[in-house]
Amino acid sequence: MRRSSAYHTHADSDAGRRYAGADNGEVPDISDIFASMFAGRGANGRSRTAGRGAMRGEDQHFSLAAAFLDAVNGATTRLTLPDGRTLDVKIPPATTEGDILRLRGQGGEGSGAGGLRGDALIAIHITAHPYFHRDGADIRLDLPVSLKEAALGGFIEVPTPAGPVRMRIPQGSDSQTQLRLRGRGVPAHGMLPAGDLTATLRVMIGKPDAALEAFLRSWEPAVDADPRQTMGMER
Amino acid sequence: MTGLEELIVSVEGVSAQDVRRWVENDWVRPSLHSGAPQFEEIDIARIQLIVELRDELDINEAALPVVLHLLDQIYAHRRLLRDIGAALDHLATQELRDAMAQHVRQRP
Repeated sequence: MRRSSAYHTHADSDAGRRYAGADNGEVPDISDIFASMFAGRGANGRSRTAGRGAMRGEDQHFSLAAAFLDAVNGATTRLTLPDGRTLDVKIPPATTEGDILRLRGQGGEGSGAGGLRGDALIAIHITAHPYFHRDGADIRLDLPVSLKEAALGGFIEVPTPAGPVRMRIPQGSDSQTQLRLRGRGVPAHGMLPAGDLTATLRVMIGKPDAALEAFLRSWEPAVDADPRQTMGMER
Repeated sequence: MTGLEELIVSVEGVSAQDVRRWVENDWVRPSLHSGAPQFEEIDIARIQLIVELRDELDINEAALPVVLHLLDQIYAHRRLLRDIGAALDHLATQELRDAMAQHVRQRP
């Protein structure tokens, strides 16, 4: 085809770059090519120090369930592999769901003289915590307080991932009041500063109490406020 | 550089409407000068190729982007191979280049 070959001449020249780019998502970047050639990621790359015929072992994929606090604070967990080997996996602080840890030389066996083992790639799955919730670097917590603590204020002990801390509750704190403990969220890691812990107060009336009941029956509030006033309802 | 009017005269079997649509679909990418498309040699050759695919090989316009996309990928890959070749040419010793050529030929 004469015309196709005319196009070929142009497309194969520098001018052809005009039609490369946005539309060619599948064509990898040259640095990706080199990464897959020489870093041995998934490829059976030949080790540079190995003998002839030596093949690097395959990378193997595993998953590991990490407890919420282990992922936040960091921990070492023992992982038993299907082939019976055990690996001590060091979970770094501030690990997030789906993070993949690479353990060099812990994957499939290499073959031939000097064939290196592949890597073990471990995907971390974080199990939920009964009262902490992760929100980026911050941690959220629903914090139950008694009626007396909420009404009169005072110091209470608050659990945080790094251990309990004392926090002052202001007098007259309502349910849904948010109190922030700076730097008590996910610890600082790399260039990132530590997150905060946000406690949302939840006032608990508690079990029936005769004295409280008697007081409330005789109580005449100084301000007879309607808590549903903003909902647009008539009394 | 060729303007649209000149282009439809020089390329057989193509209308201004065709070319405008193909530009809109991003199948042809002319440069713009004062709002008017200017076609370079590669753009004209590509338009000729599209005409040929459509009229002689009966590839309809629904299938054309697939064909063009595959074609663009092939040329991107060829360019990538040449870039790798150039890098090796620049960095690798003659001995290493010979060994690589031999190794690639021996692969099943």
